[in-house]
Amino acid sequence: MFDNNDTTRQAILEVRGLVKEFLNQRALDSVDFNVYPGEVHALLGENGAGKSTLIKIIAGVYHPDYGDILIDGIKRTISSPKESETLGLGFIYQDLYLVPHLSVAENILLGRYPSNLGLVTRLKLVQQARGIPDALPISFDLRTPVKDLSVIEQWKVAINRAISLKARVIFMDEPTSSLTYEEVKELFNSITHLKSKGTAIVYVTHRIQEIFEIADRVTVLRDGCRVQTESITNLNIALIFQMMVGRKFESLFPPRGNVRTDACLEIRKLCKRGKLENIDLVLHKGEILGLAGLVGSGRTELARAIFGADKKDSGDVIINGKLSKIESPQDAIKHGLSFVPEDRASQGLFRIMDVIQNITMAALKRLEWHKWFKVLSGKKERCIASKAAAKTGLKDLLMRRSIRFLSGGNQQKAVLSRWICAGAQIYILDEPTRGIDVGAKVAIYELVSDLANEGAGIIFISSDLAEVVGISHRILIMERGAIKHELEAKKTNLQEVLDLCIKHKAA
Amino acid sequence: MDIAVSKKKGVDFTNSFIFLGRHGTILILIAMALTFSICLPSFRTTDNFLNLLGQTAILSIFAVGLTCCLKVGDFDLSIGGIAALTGVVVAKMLALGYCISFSIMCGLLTGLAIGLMNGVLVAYVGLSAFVCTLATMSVVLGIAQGITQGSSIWSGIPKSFGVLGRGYLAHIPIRFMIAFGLLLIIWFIHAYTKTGRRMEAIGGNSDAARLCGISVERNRLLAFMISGFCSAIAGIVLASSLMSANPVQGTLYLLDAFGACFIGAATIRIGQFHIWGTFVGVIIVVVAINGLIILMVPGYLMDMIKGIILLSAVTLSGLVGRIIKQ
Repeated sequence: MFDNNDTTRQAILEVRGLVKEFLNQRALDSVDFNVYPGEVHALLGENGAGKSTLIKIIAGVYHPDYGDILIDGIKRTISSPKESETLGLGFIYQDLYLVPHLSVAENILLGRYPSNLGLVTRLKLVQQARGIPDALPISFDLRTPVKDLSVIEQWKVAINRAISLKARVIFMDEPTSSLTYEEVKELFNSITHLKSKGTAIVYVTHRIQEIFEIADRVTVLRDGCRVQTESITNLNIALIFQMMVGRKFESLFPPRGNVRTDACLEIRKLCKRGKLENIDLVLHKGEILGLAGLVGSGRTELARAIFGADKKDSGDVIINGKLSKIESPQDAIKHGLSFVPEDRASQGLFRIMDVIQNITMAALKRLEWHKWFKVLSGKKERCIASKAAAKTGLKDLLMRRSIRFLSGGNQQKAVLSRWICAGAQIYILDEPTRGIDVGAKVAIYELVSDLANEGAGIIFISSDLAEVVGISHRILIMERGAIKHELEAKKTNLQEVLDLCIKHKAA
Repeated sequence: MDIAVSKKKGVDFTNSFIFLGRHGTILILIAMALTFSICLPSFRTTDNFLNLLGQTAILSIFAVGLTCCLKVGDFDLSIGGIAALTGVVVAKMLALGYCISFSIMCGLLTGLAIGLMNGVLVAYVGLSAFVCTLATMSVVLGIAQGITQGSSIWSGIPKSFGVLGRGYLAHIPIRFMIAFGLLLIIWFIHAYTKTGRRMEAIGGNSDAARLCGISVERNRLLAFMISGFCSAIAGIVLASSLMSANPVQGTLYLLDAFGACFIGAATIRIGQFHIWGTFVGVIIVVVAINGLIILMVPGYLMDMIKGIILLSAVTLSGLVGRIIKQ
């Protein structure tokens, strides 16, 4: 496809030696980056690698400390988002930033409504929106309010807005994080359409698997530096992983411990209309069971149904050989279950409280002074919280801090400490390393491995295939509410699992 | 990255601003009290001080119960109505000849029952707290009207009933002691019991609380029952101090109670409703009114000034809250 040595093409956008510092730390350290017309250029990097800083500088939100930005070979200073817009750069962020109550047409032409003496003519607006050259074909009415559209339809609106602004490079930030498999296909079709018109796409993501289907070139950032830019044909998933993380895939994960023969958790015929179909599952003591699958495959629904957070229609939950009635999180906790939700900010953390209180929240009974005098003892609380935190590696000086000031990694450690403190024997972790930098991720892998070695059973849900393959003993692949595949991690490898998922997509 | 201490210039200014914001209400209180003490000779007498203590009593009882509700994230607009109904119930029973303790017990049960009703409708049925308690207030006031047939009940009330609302023990008004005792009990529940911790969790993040095994419904119900119970106590003390009951007695305390709680949420623990903050709020409101009365400020101006105090407190806490978040 694209030859790196082809010097006849002029890059639309070029970035040379970009440096950006925040509070004496370099978020970007002499980064070079270029984008050619009609290419899909994937920008990969872990959390904290510098991707969003780079994008924000190109968008005019931040100003670089050093370095140049060239558009069509000419040096430019981009001092505001409006300027980047006029230079032909379009940006679609994860949150889309469309106005929900306004219609599609109004969003596409936001800020540029055709007006007659200051009054907007709605008919003209829709006509103009419909008549945008090279726009993505859309099947829904241009007068629909954006909030009534699905996520992929909203993305198309955002893309058409960028097209209407004559964007020659469109930056897409984590586009697939909330799309189902079919919707991802639609998005990729839209991207192909854009390519054919000569528009370049910069596709920012931290998920390796998708780019193989869509990207032409890949640039990997790590710790603010550009590691490499390479054509996709010269890469494989293991190489990319190593570039992103800086370590060989195998060295990132602790060695797997032994799985015991007795089952701590067994699920039989769990059903939830529309979401889960006859799930059968066994979890042994000391085992890390990975649960892979795309968005919408039902993994979080399964986790919540097992934990009693959502009602199930039918199914048995058997804990340590005994049939147990789990109808609420309270029941689940009594039986030794625990649940770390996907979105820790809205479902896991008590932002007004400090770390100690966050840790002890599921184990309040342990804080009582005395059996007959049910008063909470501050000293006991600190002691118990410290013990749990020590296991997760949370530093002691953070304990009295309000939890909202902690980094993502430390917040997650605090949530895990909560369940250690509650004495859980079965851990259900939903995307435990989301939004966490690599160093903290490794710490969590080691913690999970330690817990398993001590006899706990762990269900590890993740969209990051590399992670699932690296940490689990066994892997279940879910799709559309059912378990489709079961693999022994030792007998497979990352490439095979990836192929299985992709093959399944094609099926 | 955890937030390290900023080495930027001007960090001292930020810190002192935050301190000012956190303690702003207390500073206002001290400033107000000092100003009145210096400028108004009748303010700084022992008599007036005891008077003040007594005046904080009823507002404090209302506000402490309301704080519980606000803490779990709900509203209770029916507190005034519950007080009125309770006062009417107790007065009616006394007038009919029942003994004091029994009448008071019936009054307290009334408060608990209405709190229970509020709690079931809001926490279990899922109605909006605002709308539900607004409606309950109307129902309750209607029942009070029905009992009294529009007039107030004052005959047949034994003199000893007045001890609660008018009596003194070692020069300290008994109603203040009731209010302060109630405050200490509820503060203790909030700070040192599992239930209090659970309520704070629900107010902070009810989804997360549920996932920690906390029964959100049960605790919200409890909060409404405490609010109802406190309103009932307030109604009884009020009826005792006036030695009569009428179907709207106590309804005027609603706004001041909310005001006190919100001033409390602007004090020290910004953005959270807590008992000692409410206490500061009550004192501010009462001291302000007391001073203004001595100054013989006309009624409408008093309401304006109360509003301005509340506005400043909430604005200041909002600004500080935003700075803290950065």
